[in-house]
Amino acid sequence: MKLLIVDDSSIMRRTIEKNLGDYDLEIVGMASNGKEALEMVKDTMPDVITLDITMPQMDGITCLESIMQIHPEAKVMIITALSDKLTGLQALDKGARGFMYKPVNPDDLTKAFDKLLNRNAN
Amino acid sequence: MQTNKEEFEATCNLFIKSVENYFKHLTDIDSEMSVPYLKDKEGLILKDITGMIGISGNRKGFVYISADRGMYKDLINIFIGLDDPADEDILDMAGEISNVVAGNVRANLGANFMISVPVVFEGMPNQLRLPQDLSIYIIPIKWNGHEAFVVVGLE
Amino acid sequence: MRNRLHDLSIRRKFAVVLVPLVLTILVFDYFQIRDSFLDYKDSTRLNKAIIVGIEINHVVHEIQKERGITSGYLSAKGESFAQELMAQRERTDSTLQVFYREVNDPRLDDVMQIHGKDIEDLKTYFNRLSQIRSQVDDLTLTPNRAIEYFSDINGAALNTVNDLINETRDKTLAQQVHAIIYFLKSKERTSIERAMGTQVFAVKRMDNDMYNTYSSLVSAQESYLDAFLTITNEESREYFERIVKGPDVDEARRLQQVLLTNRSFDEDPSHFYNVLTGKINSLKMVEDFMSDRIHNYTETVAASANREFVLFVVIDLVVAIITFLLVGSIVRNIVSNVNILEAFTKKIAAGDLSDEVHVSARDELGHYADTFNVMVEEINKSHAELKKERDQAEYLYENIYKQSEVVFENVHQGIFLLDKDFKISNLYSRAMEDIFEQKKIGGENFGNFMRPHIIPRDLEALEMFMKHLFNKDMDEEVVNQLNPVEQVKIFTEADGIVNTKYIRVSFTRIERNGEIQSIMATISDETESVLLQQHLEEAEEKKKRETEQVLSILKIDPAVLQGFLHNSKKIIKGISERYEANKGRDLKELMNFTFETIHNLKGNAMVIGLDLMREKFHLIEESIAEFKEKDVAGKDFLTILYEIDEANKILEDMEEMLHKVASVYKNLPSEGQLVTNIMLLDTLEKGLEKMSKELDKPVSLTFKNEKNLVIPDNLINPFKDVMIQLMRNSLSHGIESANVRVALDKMVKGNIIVSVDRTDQNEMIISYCDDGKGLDIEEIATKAVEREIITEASLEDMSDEEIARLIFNNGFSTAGKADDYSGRGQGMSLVKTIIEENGGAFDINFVPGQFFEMNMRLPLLANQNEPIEAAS
Repeated sequence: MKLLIVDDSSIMRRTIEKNLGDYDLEIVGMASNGKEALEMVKDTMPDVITLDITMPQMDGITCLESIMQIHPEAKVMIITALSDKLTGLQALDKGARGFMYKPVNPDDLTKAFDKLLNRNAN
Repeated sequence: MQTNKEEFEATCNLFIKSVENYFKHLTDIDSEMSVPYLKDKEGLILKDITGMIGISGNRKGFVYISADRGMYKDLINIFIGLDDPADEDILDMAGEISNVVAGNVRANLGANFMISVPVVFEGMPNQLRLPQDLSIYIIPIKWNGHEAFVVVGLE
Repeated sequence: MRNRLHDLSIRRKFAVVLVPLVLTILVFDYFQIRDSFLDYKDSTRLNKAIIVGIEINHVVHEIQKERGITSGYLSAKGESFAQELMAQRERTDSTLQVFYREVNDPRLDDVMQIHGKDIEDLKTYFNRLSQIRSQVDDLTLTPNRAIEYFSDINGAALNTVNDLINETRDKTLAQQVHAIIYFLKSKERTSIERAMGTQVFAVKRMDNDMYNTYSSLVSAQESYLDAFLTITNEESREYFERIVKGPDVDEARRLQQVLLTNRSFDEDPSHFYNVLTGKINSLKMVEDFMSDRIHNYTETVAASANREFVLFVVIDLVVAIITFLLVGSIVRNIVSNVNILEAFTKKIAAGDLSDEVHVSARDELGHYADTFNVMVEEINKSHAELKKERDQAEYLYENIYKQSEVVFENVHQGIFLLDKDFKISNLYSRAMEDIFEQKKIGGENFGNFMRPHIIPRDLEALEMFMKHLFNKDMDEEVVNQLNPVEQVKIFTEADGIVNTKYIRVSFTRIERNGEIQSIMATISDETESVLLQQHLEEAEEKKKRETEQVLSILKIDPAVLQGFLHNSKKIIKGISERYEANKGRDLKELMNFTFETIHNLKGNAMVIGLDLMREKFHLIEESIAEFKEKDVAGKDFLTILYEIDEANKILEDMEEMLHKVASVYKNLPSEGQLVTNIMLLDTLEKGLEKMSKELDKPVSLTFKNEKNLVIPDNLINPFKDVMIQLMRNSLSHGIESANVRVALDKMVKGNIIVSVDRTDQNEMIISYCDDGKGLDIEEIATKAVEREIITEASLEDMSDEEIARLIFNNGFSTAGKADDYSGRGQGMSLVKTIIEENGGAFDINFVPGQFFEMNMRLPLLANQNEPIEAAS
């Protein structure tokens, strides 16, 4: 399966990359802002996307909306430090299937991927 | 409702725990809080790179998370195995810690607290816009041979 | 009325709903059935009428023949046709006999009821036959007259036929009836032609009158035939064309031409009669054919109408039976389910929670029963929870277990279920009403319910959140991370008072067969009652501390106090500096250092008699002592540091207070009353500062006390109240906003000067002055009239001074709108009241644009002969 990581923090991007667990996920791209992310979604049509909400240029919610238009089957997981509930709920509304707060550790990530991928496999 | 003292301690502890949790959770290396002290506005000295989190609502104030480059470099090394990260990466790392800490604290504070999106700056700014009559608490936290400051100023 | 409806039993309610419905159906069906029945009746009657008509037509046919023969007989003056005439009269009479028999048939009663009179009339026409015949036998009639007589009878007969059959609601039938009537009329004209022609050929001449009659007869004959051919159906037309042709028809046409040319009349009258009779017989065949068709058609219509009628009656009966069976069954089912629920409710009310209710129906009652079960299940869970938590509340628990109501009355949490439409279940715990200070919560949409209690952003989030809660594709844990009301501040209103509360709401999905059936919500009120208590205590504590501070200050030599405060602050700073420099050295030793330093400070405070600080340092000492006993950690110093900082703040406050006292009193008085004086000034200063900030008008307060006076206790409160009202007034109306002041070349910051003095008459003089815009006499006059304090007329005689004093009138306010500081129409009148209550007097003075001043004189009490003067 193809994975796209979207986070403005390179540290975070690489942390996710390092902690994918046993999932057979091939990283097809890493984007640091919404615009970049959209280009990559168009080019690679990833199966799974991790998405930060607070990003420069285009925020995560706007980005998510556009992603869903281009590629509605993508399973998007929001990973954010932003604790504003409304924004999180808006993300679910726009089609996000997973949600987790930063900081994330390997265990959290594995669990979240479990949920994201199993639930959608049904 | 807590007394002022309890509320102050609870707020400080939220930040301290959040920072300690960050280290513990992500690096598996424990951190330790050293003896805190007071500074006035003029005597405040920060470390190399600082993330500033503003607090508004019932009580106004700020929290800084400040540390030297060395510490951020170590964190980057542990996360992604990069030995000599670029300056950009280091700033990024500092921003990420403040973001996560602010986000966590926001989730745990009551509705009366509003927490701003952190701003990251290098060194000591020429003029810090701080409210008068504010006691500034410096809380040093030691991790992996480095010292980070959690600086708390609450009305 | 409505209540009476509501009180009916379910069975009756159904009846109320169904009876009008069934009645309506029955009325409709009645009309439908009646229509069918009428159709049937019409058709049978028409059928019978047609039989009568056919009989009349037979008679007409025979009379037509008799007419022809009679005409011939008369024309020949009785010399020929005599035999034929006799035979024809016999045939005519026998068809007449058949007709009479027919109309007397009792089966034709219904036809006779309607057409009886027509038939009776027709009979009188028929009776004329015998008279006509005797005249014919006497040869006293001309042929034309005879034809006329016979034609009259036939005309009447055909009209009767017309009346008989010309009434039907069936369009097809009506058309055929008209066709046959036209046909009969044409045939009658043909028959008359036969009579006339026979006569003409017999006498071998035709006069003009006769020719005209004949030619109009032929044209009438043709037009009736045309009309018949136009409206009749295909079948009859074909039959007509097939039958009415051949040598007779052709010969008839030729003879007609002979007559119409009106020249030679050499033809044999018998030949003409026979040819025409041949044609008429073929016409008769067509007539019979058509009569038959119509007769059959009416029979078919009658039969189908009859079938329809029977069908409707049967369907109605079946529907009625099914309806009553179904309604009966549904009512029985509902009543029995309601009874089950009722019994179960009673059982729960009686305390038995061991069972579930089973209602097999999948309707609202079924769902209600399910909700009930879930509730009971949750109640049972709560029971278990409570048992664990409260061992000592065994007795209460027993009680709860006996009565489910008691649980919902006593559970501290608000508990309820949300259905898919986010509606709050009708069953909810009593705590809900307490938390939200609202009754009748059940059935309302939870979002709507929360709308007045939370901020719009949280509400928006809540509505979104509930939607995702019910989305089974979303993981419950993931959704619950985003619960926007997990911890939320709510505003509740009771009797106009808005309360702020902190509640925690948690949601749990209740799933059944893989579907989310409902959501259980639990609300706990985290606003401890302690909240208010502690606020009060804090305020009390602060006030006490401030009073103590002043008291302490007054007791101690200012120089000594100054020295102590300065020194203590320096030492405290030293502690923090020592902490900073510590860098990982022995924490235990650092703690000891702190203890010793604080201990020394406590000693210093004790030496100079500053109890307040001694106590504070003592508290810090105790905190440190606690930590000293265990392993010291960096974190422990945070508490100590906070307390030290607090002590430092008190020291700073005291320095400020010391400064303030020194500025008002040249010599520090040692009287206890001074405390209240200092506190009073402090209150006024703080109050002014607050108002100044809120109205955004910078202003300072200067207090002048040249004679070192002390305001006696009994005047403290009046003084404070008057000053606060005056300051409010100055800020609202007197002192201009900063930019106006700049434009007027005034100092940006307004100034209020309060001074106290005394007279020799044992009076205290208080003077208040602001440097605002003074009073606006015109505005005051306008307002006073508007407020109906005075009439416009009385204004004329008033001096400016008198008008200015109107501001002290009850109900006067010059502010455009009411706010916290002015405009309730009582500010200045309150000032007046207070002064007068204390036996004082006042005057005012102002210069527009410059200042407003008020001088008050308040008498001192007898035992206050001398205002208390500070000891020097």
